[in-house]
Amino acid sequence: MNRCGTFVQFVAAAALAAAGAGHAQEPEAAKPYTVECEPDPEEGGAMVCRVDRGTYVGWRTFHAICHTCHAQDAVGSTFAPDLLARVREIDQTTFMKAMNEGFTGQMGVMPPWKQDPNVNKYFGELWSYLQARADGVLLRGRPKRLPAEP
Amino acid sequence: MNTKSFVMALALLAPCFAGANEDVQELIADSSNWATWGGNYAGTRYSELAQIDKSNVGRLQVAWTFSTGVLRGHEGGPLVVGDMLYIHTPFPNKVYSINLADQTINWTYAPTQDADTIPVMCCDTVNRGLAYGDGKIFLQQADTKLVALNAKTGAVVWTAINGDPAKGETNTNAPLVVKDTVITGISGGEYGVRGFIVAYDIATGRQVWKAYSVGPDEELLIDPERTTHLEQPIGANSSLSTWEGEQWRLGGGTTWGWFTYDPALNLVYYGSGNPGTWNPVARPGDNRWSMTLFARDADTGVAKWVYQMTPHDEWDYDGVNENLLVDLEVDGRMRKALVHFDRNGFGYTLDRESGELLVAEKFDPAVNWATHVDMRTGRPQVVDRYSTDENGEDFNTEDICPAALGSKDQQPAAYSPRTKLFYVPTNHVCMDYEPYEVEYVAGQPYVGAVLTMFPAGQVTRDGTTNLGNFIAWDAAEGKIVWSNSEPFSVWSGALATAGDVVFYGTLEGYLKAVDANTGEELYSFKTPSGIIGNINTWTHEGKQYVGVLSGIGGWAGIGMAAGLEGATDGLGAVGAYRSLSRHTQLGGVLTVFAIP
Repeated sequence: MNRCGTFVQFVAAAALAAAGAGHAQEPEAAKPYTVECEPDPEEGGAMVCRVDRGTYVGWRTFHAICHTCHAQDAVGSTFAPDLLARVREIDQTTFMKAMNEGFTGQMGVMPPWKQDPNVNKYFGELWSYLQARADGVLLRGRPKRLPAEP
Repeated sequence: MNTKSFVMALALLAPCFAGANEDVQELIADSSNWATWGGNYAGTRYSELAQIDKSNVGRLQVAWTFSTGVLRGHEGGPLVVGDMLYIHTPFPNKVYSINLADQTINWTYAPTQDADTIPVMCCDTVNRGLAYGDGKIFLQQADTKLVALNAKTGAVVWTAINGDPAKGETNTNAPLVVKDTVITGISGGEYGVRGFIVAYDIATGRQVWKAYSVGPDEELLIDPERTTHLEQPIGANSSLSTWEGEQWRLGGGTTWGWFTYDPALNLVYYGSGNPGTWNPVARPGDNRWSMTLFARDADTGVAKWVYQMTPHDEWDYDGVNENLLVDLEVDGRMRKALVHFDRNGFGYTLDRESGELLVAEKFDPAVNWATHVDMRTGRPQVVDRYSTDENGEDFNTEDICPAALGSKDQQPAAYSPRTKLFYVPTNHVCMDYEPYEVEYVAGQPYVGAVLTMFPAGQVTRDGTTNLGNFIAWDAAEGKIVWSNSEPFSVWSGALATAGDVVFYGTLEGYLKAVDANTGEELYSFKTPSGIIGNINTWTHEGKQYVGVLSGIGGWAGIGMAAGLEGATDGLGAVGAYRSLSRHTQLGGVLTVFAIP
C-alpha cells in the first residue's frame, strides 16, 4: 500500500472508464475514491493527498461530526472504535444500515443519522473517505481537492 | 413526586430544615472533609491539611483502591463527609457510599437511564461529581434528571427533570448546594441548546429560579438598569440586539462547567459556553451572553454583572471554566477577586463584587488568535488571519492557537494562599478550523466547522511536541511563574495543600506531587488508568489521605486521537498523540494515598 514517498495514484474504475484513460496501476476492484499523494512543495515537501470531490466531502463531514467520537483520521477514541479496522470487515450495505439506523457497540452507542440533513446526504461520501483511509491510500490529515473532474 | 415520597422527604428533612447553607459551610470549614467539588465555595481546591508535606510526600503509598466498575471517562472526584466517602461514575452515573473505616460499600445508587442519552453527549459520557447538603447527596444524571439521595441510605428523596435529551439537552456538571437550593446547569452546546442555570429547592426539588444565557431580558433574569457589563448598565435587550432574528433560540451559552459561591456577597459565579453553531458567519453579532462570566444573586438569580470574554465566538472557546474566588492585592489595592482561566487562553482577574476587569493576560505563550484584551472595552483584539469569520465559510483557517479544547478546559485549577499562586492544568494544542453552513434539526449535532488539532509546537516552531503544561500563575501580575511540560494535555483537577505540595494527574495515569514554590517533582505514581479526574484530600481518624479518580476518556480521549483500539502508525508530530495508547487503557478506579 501507499507508504512510499513517490507519486502514487489510485483511481476508481468508474472514473477511469469515464476518462477513457489506460492507467497501469489501477487496483483490482472498483474503488469509490480517487487519491493522489505526493510531496507538496507548498507544504515544505510534506506528503499531501489530493482527492476527488466525494472523498473530500466525506473527509469534511467526518471531521465536523463523526470525529467527536471516532477521532481525527477515523482512528478511534477511548469509547468509539477505530473505523479503519471496522470498514475493512463490512460491506457498503452494512455500513449504510448502521448509518441509517444507528449501532450499539460494545462500548458506546452510535445514533441513527437518517434524520440529520448535515450527514444523511453524505453517506456515500463518508464510505468513500473511510475506504480510502482503510485501504491505506489516503494518509492522515487534511486532503486537498483534485482539479475538478471533466 | 408522589405523596408517599413527599411525606418521606418531609420526615427526613424535618430535623435539618434550618440552613443547609450553614451545614455545608461548617463541613467545608473542617478540612477533614472534602464536602464540595472545589473543597470550598471559593473553588480554590486548597486544603489546610499539612501532614503530607514537601519533606515526606516522597514516601506516599497507596492505602486502598476502589474500582467503579465502569469504563469511559471519569471526571470529578470523591466527596468526603465525616466517615463516609461518596464517588460517582460516568454514564450510567452510579453512586457509591463507602465507609472510610473499612472501605465497605454502605449503599449503591444505580439509575436506569435511556441509552439514547449516550449518543447525544458530545465528548464522552462524563460526569463531574456530586454535591452534599441537608443530609443529601445530589447527582445530576446524564439524562438531565437531578436526583436527591438520602446520604445515609441512598434512598431517592426527590427528582427533578432539568431538560430533554431528545433535543440534545444532557448534563455532565456537578451541582452546587447554595443556601436552601441546589444549583445546576445544562449541556448540549453542540446541539443548539439554549443554556440556562436553575436553582431547585433543596427540600422538594421545586424550581426556585431559572435564568437563560441568551434571549429576552426577563428570561435572562437581567435588570437592564442594574446589571452591569464592565461597571456600565447593560441596558434593555442586551442579548436580543446582538442576534439576527430568532437565532438566539438556538443561541447556545450552555452551562456545563463549575459553580462557585461567595456567601458574603451572596453571589453565584459561572460561565456560559459557545453560541449555537460553530459557523460564525451564520450568526452575525456579538451573540451575547454566550462566552460570558455571570455573577448572580443566589436568592433571586438576577445577574449583578456579566462579562463577555469572547464576543462573536469563531473558535469554540466556551467560557465555562471555573471561577476561583480569592482576595488578592492588585496594583497595590486589596480586591475581592475572581480568577478565571478561559478556554480562549487568557487568564482573567476581575473584581468579583463590581465585575471590573483587572488583569487579562495569556497563560500560554502560544496563544495567537488575539494580540491582547482591550482593558477599557474588555474585547479581545482578534488577529485577522486567525478570524474564521473574516476568512469565511469553506475556508480553512490554519494554525490557530489554542485549539477548540482551549488552553484549558474544565479541569479545575487550585490556589494556595501560602504561595499566592494559582496551579493550572493546561493544553498546548493548536488547530485548523473551517466553518461551513449547516441546518438545525432538534436532537442532531449543530456544529458547522471542520477541525484538525495538533501540538502547538507545529505553530510555534520551537521544536516541542508536548500537548500540555502544568503551570503556576500569578493572577495579580498576569504572569507564569513556573511551567512543567507534559507530553499530553493535563486534564485533571489540581489540589494545593498547606504542606506546600501541589498534586495533579496526567493522561498516562501518573499522580504527581510537586513543590508549590518551584514545581519540582517530589512524587509520582502510575494509577491504573489515565487521569481526567480531580485530586481531593481529607482525613480519617486524624490521618490525611489523598484520592484521585482515574479512568481515561472525555474530550482528552478524543481530541487527542487516543486510538486505544490500535491505529496505524503516525506521521511526524501527529505520532505523539498515538503513543497514549501505549501508556494506558480504560477503567474507573479511585486510588487513595497516605504516608504509611
